[in-house]
Amino acid sequence: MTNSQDAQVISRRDFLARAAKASATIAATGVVGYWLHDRIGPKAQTVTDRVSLPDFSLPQVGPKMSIITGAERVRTIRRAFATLGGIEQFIKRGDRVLLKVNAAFASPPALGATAHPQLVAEVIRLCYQAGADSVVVSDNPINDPQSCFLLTGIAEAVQTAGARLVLPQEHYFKPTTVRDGTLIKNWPLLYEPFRGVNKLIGIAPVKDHHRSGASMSIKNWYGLMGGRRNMFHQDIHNIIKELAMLVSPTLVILDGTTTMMSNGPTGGSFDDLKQTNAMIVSTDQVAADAFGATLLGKNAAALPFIAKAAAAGRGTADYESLKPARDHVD
Amino acid sequence: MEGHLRPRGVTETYVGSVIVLVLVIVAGGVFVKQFHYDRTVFLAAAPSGSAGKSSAPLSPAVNAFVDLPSELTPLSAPETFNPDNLYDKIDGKAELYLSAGVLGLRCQRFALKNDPNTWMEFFVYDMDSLRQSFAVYSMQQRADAQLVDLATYAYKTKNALFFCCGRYYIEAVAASPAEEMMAAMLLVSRQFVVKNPPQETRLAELDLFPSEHLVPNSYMLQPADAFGFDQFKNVFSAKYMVNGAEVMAFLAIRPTAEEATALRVAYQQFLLTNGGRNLPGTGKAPAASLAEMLGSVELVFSRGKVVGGVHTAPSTEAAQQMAALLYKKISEAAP
Repeated sequence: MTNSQDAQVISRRDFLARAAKASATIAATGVVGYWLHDRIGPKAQTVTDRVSLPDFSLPQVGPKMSIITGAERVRTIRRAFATLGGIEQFIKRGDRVLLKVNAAFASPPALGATAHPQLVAEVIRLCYQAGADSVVVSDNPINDPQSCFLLTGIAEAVQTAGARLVLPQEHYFKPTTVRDGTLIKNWPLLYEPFRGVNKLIGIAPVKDHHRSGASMSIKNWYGLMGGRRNMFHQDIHNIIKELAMLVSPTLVILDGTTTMMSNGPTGGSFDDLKQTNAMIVSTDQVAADAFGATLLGKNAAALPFIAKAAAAGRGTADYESLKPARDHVD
Repeated sequence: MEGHLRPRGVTETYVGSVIVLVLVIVAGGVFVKQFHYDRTVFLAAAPSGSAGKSSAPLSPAVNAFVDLPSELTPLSAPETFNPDNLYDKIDGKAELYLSAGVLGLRCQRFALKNDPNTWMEFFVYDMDSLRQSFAVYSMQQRADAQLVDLATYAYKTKNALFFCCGRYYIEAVAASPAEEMMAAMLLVSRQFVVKNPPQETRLAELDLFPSEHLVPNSYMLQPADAFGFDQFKNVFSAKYMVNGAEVMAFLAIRPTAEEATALRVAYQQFLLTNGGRNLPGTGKAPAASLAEMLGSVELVFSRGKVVGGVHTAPSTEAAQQMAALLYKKISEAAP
């Protein structure tokens, strides 16, 4: 059989008919494509949508730090504030306070992966004692926030102490940009809990972290970010630095009563924990983390984000320069 | 001119019929198979919008994704994660699993029927192979681990169980230490092993490590970037106590002896370009290189397809003594 025999023979009429059909198909595709084409494109976020956090720090108070040793969180946090002149130095009558806790995982408080509910409850009580008008507690754990707040015991602590828990919802996020930053640009920020707030306190445990080496006060602000924030893990030390640039808290509370020494940030076994019996309250988040590093058996130099945050002018890694008030409670 | 089409041949008709028949058989197979998937290990991606979400976290759920003993009841719905959203569940630790090639995670919380406040979470990571499940198992091994007879690689701590079941790495983590919960977790885990019998139970590379002076439960597999060297992939290591000092022995197998030699040379160069300093002497391991780095001693050698060595030894003597033991064992296994 030859090629000429294989070839399909068509008439001129057939050829013209087929060509017309093909042309019609192409034209129809073009019309549909034109019809579906969005000349404007997705609506860009306007500048007015973008938010930035106010400065919650208290320059008139100056840099202050307290390091209290002891195994009972309620007692150590009370003593920590007492050594700084009382929580009234930071929280005034009528203040509206936001507590940014670490509620990242749906794990029990005993595993040390999240802020301890006893500590959260006591800080809420202290704020109200100082005359705070309202206390709001929030975090964005991404996965199933309801489970995270319930199983960590934080939801119950908040309810018992009379504060208001704000679970993240999609419309609570607004784009934010860190000035002079390179990573946080028009990135969704959990902004709704900040509305009307004039004081901000971060509460975080001391933990090992697989990527950054440690998760403490500054890394705690990561929970304010929305979107696919895991992409920031590729540049972990710089994102933590930018978090320090993003947030100027009134003070931070770093809970080193129990430290997660390994397998962080989730842990999972009691063997990952070590009783380190330290409670840190500091107006300088960098200094707090620099001391927290020592609880992990490291020094600040081993955690590059500390030096980066200090270089960005967000605090000092030389926590001793703050002349921290030290005490012990049994 | 009158056009016409070539008549259809018998062969074409026959081939066409066979193709249609095969497609019908495949479609039938898919249809039948969908009713018989293994729910214990089903790791299909959750539909958009529900991935990684569980409903009613503290209310009884209908299904458990593993067979439960009578003591346990579901506390939440099963959750499913894939490499793209694993981070949602375990945050920064996701990188550890991703670097080891994780395919998915299935997890669920369960409580004791007679005490709903005593609960645990059961995690099943699909790591694709025993080698990869051992990697994440070994890199998280707890110092005070107590071995259990669940599988070749299995241990428990006060509140948790960790083990490899072939391609699956399993964690059962209780909210608090409780004997009754630990017994229940062991039952669930044993049932899981029965339902998912592993094809592989042992990694042959571990047999190349000498048993003398070995620190128990110290084997580790680093799938990538071992010791900060980007060419060190699938590196096994173990800790030893040599003359009162802890040293780490390591080995990696390459496809050919030439590649092993090249890797040894590249690692030595890596050490030197990162502040290391050559040291004289090679001990009893031929083709070995010694370097001092940041106050400790690094030794690397190759033996056939194996690259071996000692990492962060406190002295040249300790490094050479450990290397000699390792080299001898490797030589015995592959003379």
